[in-house]
Amino acid sequence: MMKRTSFRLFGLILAALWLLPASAQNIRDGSIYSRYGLGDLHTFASSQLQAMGGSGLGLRSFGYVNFGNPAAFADQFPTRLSLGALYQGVEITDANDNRSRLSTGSLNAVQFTFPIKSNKIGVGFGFQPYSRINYRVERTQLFDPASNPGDTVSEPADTTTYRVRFAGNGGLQQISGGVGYRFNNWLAVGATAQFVFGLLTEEQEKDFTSTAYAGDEVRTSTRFYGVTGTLGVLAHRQQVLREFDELAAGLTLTLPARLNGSNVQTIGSQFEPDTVSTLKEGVVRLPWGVRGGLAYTTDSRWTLVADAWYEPWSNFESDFNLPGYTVGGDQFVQDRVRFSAGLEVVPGGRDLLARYLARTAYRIGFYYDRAYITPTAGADVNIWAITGGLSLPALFSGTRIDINLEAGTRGTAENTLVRDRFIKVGLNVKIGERWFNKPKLR
Amino acid sequence: MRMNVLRAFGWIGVVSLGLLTMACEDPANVGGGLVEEQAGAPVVIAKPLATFAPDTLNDITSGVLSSQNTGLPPALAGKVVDDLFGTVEATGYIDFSQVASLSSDFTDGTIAEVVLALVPKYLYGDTLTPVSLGLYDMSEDWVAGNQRARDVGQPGDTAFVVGSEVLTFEGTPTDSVISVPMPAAWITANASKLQNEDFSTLFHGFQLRPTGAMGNAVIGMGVGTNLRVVAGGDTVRYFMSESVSGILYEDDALIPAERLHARDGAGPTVGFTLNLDSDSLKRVPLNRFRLVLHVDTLTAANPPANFVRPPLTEVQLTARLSNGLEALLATTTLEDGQLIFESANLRNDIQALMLEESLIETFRLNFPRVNNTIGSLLLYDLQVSEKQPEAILTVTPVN
Repeated sequence: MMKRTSFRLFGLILAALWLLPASAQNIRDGSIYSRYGLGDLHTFASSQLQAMGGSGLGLRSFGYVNFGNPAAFADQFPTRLSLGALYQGVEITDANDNRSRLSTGSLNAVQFTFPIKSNKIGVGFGFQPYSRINYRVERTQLFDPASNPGDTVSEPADTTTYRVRFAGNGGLQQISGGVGYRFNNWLAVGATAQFVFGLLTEEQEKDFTSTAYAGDEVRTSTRFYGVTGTLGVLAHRQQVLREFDELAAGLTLTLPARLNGSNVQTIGSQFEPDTVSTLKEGVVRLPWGVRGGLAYTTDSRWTLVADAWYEPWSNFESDFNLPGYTVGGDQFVQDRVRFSAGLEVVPGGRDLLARYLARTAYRIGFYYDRAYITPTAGADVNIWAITGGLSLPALFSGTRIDINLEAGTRGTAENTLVRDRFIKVGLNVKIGERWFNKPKLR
Repeated sequence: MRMNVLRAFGWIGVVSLGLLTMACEDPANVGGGLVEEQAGAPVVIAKPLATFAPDTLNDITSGVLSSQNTGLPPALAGKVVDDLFGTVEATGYIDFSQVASLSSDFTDGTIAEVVLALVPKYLYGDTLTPVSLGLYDMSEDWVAGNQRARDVGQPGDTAFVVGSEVLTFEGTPTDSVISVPMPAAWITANASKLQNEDFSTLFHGFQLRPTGAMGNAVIGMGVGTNLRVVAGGDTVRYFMSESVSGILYEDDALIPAERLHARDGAGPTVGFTLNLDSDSLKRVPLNRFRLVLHVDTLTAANPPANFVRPPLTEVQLTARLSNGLEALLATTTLEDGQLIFESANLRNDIQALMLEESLIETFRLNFPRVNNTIGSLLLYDLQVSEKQPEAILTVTPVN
């Protein structure tokens, strides 16, 4: 009884944290690259695919639902619930080999899918981050007012140092709902609608060594909401090279989106705690995106996936100034390109009587992602990472615990840029059971 | 399924909480160079004042000595004709109070003498020629509230009812004490008040009025001024406890071109507005604010022989508010020919003004009430490019 109560309590805590994702991230620290644009874009189709480099648009998975391609919703037999948490540690190195280590923890995704008609039509609902902003940096500089030609009264004593702390948190979340429909034995289509919303908060806090100057705090919060959609196609052919193999191809098109936004800026100071806000309304326009992938499976033991993505973020438009994007000025955004591939091995295949380690899935993958932001003109931020994971069968049939690892680098330690070495550890639980079945015997 | 879900939520909850409570190891100062160089950097913007024009001042010149307030302003009396700053005539009102119980020897005895001991704390004008002043009884009680210099004793002012002349006397401005023996008739007429435990209520003080017969100076009778009464072998001093100064002036100052005249007490001063309309100053943090006014100290530095123009030691910056009130924003002293107003409160006031959350409409130069002088300043106006009055703002631009 006590145990059950404790688990319920943790469940409630978890639900509360999900409802307050931004506040949960407030005190965390991540990469400075998340400062730019709308933040670090979040990619999560399923815990299975996450361990395979994030690939798998073309994968028809027996054990998971592929949120990367809504057409995959059609191929469902049990009802599935998946949820997970993610820890990320980042070591940041600059050109002078200065280093800092930061870490952040967050919840990953909640996904719920069930068939309307088994392996014919199914639906899926998910809640997960769309982007994350999570950074904290500071710098100290010299301020010499006398160097300003307009200052006629400053004296050498007025020269001072000041420290500015830049921090950002929040991000966009998305709630998605979609349906997949299988036309025939080789073709399925699907569509999802995503409601994207969230709050991006940027903080700039300054204090001076000299008491002649008052520090200040500027907080800019921009709230967005809007709807976008994804269309997907999934085609497959069996017995391509071998008797039980399957080759599948998937293609998705994410529609351009218009997010409405409202911007509030709050100015405060160390002497005057009262703050004043200003309000601005506007929109941002997210680009369309196209993604394609291939998946090849043998006899349920081996699965090989590869994806390519293209998103023309150079078409991104915003009525708001964002870090790296100035309305009518410098706009350091570029098209996003991503390549990935992965491999899964389940030695025991679908043999439920195989040894435990044979029923465990072993996954590996990699990806390359050219980020859509360029903090300085012409400087690509390239992300290279290898991924891996174990999927451990649980005592309950259809339930698995996935432990994913991801290690990679982002950017380069040249000039003002920094190189992130990151490691991500994900823990996901997937539950699959048959629901909504009419009992045949009473 | 339900139990499975609960357990799954439970495990994920445990792990999530663990991850969320992991502390970061280093506050990040790596990567700061990636942030735009100008982000968070303050800049200094000097803005000449939008307007800088003559205004008038009608200062509060009254004060009451109390245990909480020892800064009783001097009561000004006299008339001075200054070749540069013009003619000023001041009339002082003083009242006294009893500070200790009276002895029976004193109350029952015969008054031997009464002497008005005036203690000059301030002198403006001719230092050699004695100043002729008339001493008048005040017929009725008066209150040194917030009386203003140009209103005191003027037609329509019913607060001050002046009685008969007691005497006229000549006071040497440079004396440390000007002693004025009171005539016997006056002593006889006022003996019942002077020897009464209720002296403070019964006696209403004096008016000190320039006669114009002699002298070219205004003297400020300050703390220590007293009415000394000797009776029954005992001496009692009733000290000045209230003072008011009425100040009149003539528009005969010879102010040089490109200068504006500001005078303590009553007369001209300077009113101005700031130029905060530029986009670079709208809704940005204000890190420092200095208002710099350049003062012409040379023109007034060489008065005629034996003529003193005491420099103004303190100048106030006040703001006229939209609700009709006037608020003190900052006080400064004249140094190196500049008045530089700067304080944390002033910065906050200007920040509020920049954020359009202030009642401030205009600014004005004013002078501390407790000093109560007729000193003057010559300020360079907006036409003198290298000495323009200006606001120097250190701000941090934001997107």
